[in-house]
Amino acid sequence: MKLSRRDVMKAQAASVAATAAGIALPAGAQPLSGGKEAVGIQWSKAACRFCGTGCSVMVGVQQDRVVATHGDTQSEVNRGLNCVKGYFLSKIMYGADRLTRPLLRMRDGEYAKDGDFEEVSWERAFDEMERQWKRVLREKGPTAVGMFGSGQWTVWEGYAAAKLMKAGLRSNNLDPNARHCMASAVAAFMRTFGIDEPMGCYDDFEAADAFVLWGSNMAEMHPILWTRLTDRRLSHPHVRVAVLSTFTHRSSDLADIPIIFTPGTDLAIANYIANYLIQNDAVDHAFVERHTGFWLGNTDIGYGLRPEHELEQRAANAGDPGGMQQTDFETYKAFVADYTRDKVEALTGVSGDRLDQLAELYADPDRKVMSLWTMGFNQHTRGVWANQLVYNLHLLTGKISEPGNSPFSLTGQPSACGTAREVGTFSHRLPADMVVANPEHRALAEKLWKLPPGTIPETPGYHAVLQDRKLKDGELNAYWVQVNNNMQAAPNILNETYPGYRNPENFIVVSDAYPTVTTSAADLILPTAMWVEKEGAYGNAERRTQFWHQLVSAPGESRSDLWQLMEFSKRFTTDEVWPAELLDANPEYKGRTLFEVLFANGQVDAYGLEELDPKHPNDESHAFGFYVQKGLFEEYASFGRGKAHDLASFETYHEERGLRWPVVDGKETKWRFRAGYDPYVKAEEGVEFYGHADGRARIMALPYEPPAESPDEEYDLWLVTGRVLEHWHSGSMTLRVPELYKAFPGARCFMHPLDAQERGLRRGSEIRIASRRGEMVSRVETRGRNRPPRGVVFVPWFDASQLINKCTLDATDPISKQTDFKKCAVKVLGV
Amino acid sequence: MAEPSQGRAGAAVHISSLIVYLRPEAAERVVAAILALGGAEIAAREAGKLVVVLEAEHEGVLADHLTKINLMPDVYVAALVYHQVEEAVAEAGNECEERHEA
Repeated sequence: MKLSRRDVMKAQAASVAATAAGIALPAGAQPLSGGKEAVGIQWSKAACRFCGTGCSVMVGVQQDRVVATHGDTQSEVNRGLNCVKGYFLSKIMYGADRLTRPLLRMRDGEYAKDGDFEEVSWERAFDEMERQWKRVLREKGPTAVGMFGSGQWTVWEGYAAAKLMKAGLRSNNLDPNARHCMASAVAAFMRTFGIDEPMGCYDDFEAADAFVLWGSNMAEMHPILWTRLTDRRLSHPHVRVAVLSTFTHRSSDLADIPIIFTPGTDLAIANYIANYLIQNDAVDHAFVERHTGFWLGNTDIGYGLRPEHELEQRAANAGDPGGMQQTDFETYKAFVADYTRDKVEALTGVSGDRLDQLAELYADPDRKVMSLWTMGFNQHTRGVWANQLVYNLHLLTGKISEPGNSPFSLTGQPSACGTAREVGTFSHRLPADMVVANPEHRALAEKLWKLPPGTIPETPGYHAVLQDRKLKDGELNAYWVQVNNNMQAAPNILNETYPGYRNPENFIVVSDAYPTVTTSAADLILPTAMWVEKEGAYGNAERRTQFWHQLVSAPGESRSDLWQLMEFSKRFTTDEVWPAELLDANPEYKGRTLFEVLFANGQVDAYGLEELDPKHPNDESHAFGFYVQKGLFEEYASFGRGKAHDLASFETYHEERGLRWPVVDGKETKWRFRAGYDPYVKAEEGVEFYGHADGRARIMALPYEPPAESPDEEYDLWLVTGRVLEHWHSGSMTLRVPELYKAFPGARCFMHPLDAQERGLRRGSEIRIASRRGEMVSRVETRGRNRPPRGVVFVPWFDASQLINKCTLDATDPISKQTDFKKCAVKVLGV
Repeated sequence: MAEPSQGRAGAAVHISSLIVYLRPEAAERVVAAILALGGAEIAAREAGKLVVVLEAEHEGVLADHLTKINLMPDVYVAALVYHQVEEAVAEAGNECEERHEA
């Protein structure tokens, strides 16, 4: 049989896929030589730039340009697979409108807030920034400067930003867009376990007997993990899948137990299951007595709106939403007994039989259960509670911290865990789960940073939504946005976001690789190097830290966020930004630049250029004269070693396909809190939730409380926002890929055909979607991948020409300060 | 693997493979629907799984097919595994229409 070159290529393609799928190939299609290695492309590993799954991809470079990517067959996460976004990673850096020079609003050669964007040099850009920052610091002090970052920063970028803001400029007004994404998950981890991030890992997908999706649409948002879950379900017929959602979507197709509930009532469903477990004697009393404690959380905690809002005025505990007190099992039992079958059926719209089928998955002692959730829980005015109510189910049954028994908080961004959470970029946090309000934590951070006591301010800074409010109110005046598109992502943008950016008192800097809605609202735009144009590290949802090398040059004058942060720090001396008493008490810090005290501190600059991998470029290290990424990483790692956040050595991560922390004696940890898996748990303890001093996890009694806004006579529909498979978040990268743009070119309003008909609309009709806050024009979609029940519409938010966040409400979970993008009231009208 | 084709129709061959997870009882219908896309072959199959090899002159076609397969009834998920582009293969491939059955 004579094979053509095309046959060879096809056989190679089939072979790689069959291996990844675990299928034996027919004899005629065995692997053949002469595949991709033959064509002179330099291949290196990198973590995917998109979601929190953390797929590893192989990146092919030819002549300083990424020409191809494919799933990394050596990766435990994705095993050679790629979703459609990952498939087009090679194109995200090469959009025609890539920003390559700083742009400043100018008139007659000078900066003007109402001027037009003109190209300027980096020197000129930083001159203006410096002038504005110093003006604001002089007039109002450090609480008037702020920064908004991202779970898309690399680990060292987030870490450098935290140092520059919290120690250098002495402002805690640093928050990541992970506030919109993961804050509720974080607060629930801290309240329940006393330490952040999941105890389990992706290996649970191959060990669970049941999967419960609480509001997550993994088929579109985490497609590679969905292939693992699907494979488990199809190859093991006893496995069951429950999909809970406010509308039917692609993940529902696999559901053995599909559940559509009224928005917000997931809280009641979880409490019903807890009640069911107790009533049906499914509680693991030995586990509960030894490893948990019962708590009552404060209720009636408000909606995180502006304090003068009537809903806040009315709430009994708006001032102490996180308050809690210890209680006992009997009290908890009586609390959940209120969630009867009849009551929960009526509240949720879900049949009692379905509720019981779901509850039985948790109750059956022989069934290992993996619960999964993302934004449906986190973007919820009771998001922290929702997370905790699911932990309750796993704790009551002891189904936790072992293969297959796994409450698992999925993440949205590639380094929401590794950067936003772990290095301390939240306005209340420091590295390794420490907080600015705790004097011991501040003292430790100051010591590890070699800074004088009292450098870090003790008051938590402004969180994401509060930053927008303070910009509007003129209390936050010098503001730097990196790696995100908040003018599209933030809630209620016309009333609460845009006014602050264009407030004449404010100077807004936005660093990005592409023009976005946010850059258009800025005063200065800085062009940013992205992804493999710099050396990077991400940490995914299963605690896996992954590194990549710089593989290509950034276009034009674009520079990485890390270079921008460090270079800007040279513009300030301690005398200009630190109070006299701090310097008088520590005169050795006088007259030094922030660059010197933060980055040339004998630690960050401890590794020379000779340690760089000669096969790869490293623009930042050559610019500053030392191995910047290694120095930052090693200083950061000193926060977590010995404290259950241990990271391996820097070099290890350049070799491995990532490792899950804590990494102790070179060994990663797959399941935390259980002896035999977690080196921090002694064998005789069996299980120890060591994040809390008493070694116990907290089962907390928390009720159903209604959303901040529900449909009424005039605004008669629920609006749920979210994403689609092809586009990632605001679309600033994916929309530059023609193939992805073509696959899903513009947002549509998914609605029930009868809801459309009742309004005189049909599929394709042009409509206005209006809330009390704003409106946008879209088109009706009554078919396709998302099928809402009557009374609900779903609108994706990736489309910059259809800003659905003009309609959303800036209500947040009062504990986590994370916005609820899933529930507000709108009306839909024909145009 | 060369640089992605910039739409020079006929100049390139893009070969890609996918894994498709589907409702096992619906396999015949899904297979027929995939074959009807054109340029698709079923390279291997097992209960609930297919390995599909796609061939097209432009990768936009592959992306389009992937999206279509993902959204087919009874398909749970389709994931990409491999992609190769060759600019010069088109003619070479034509001489060998009666290729082996993969």
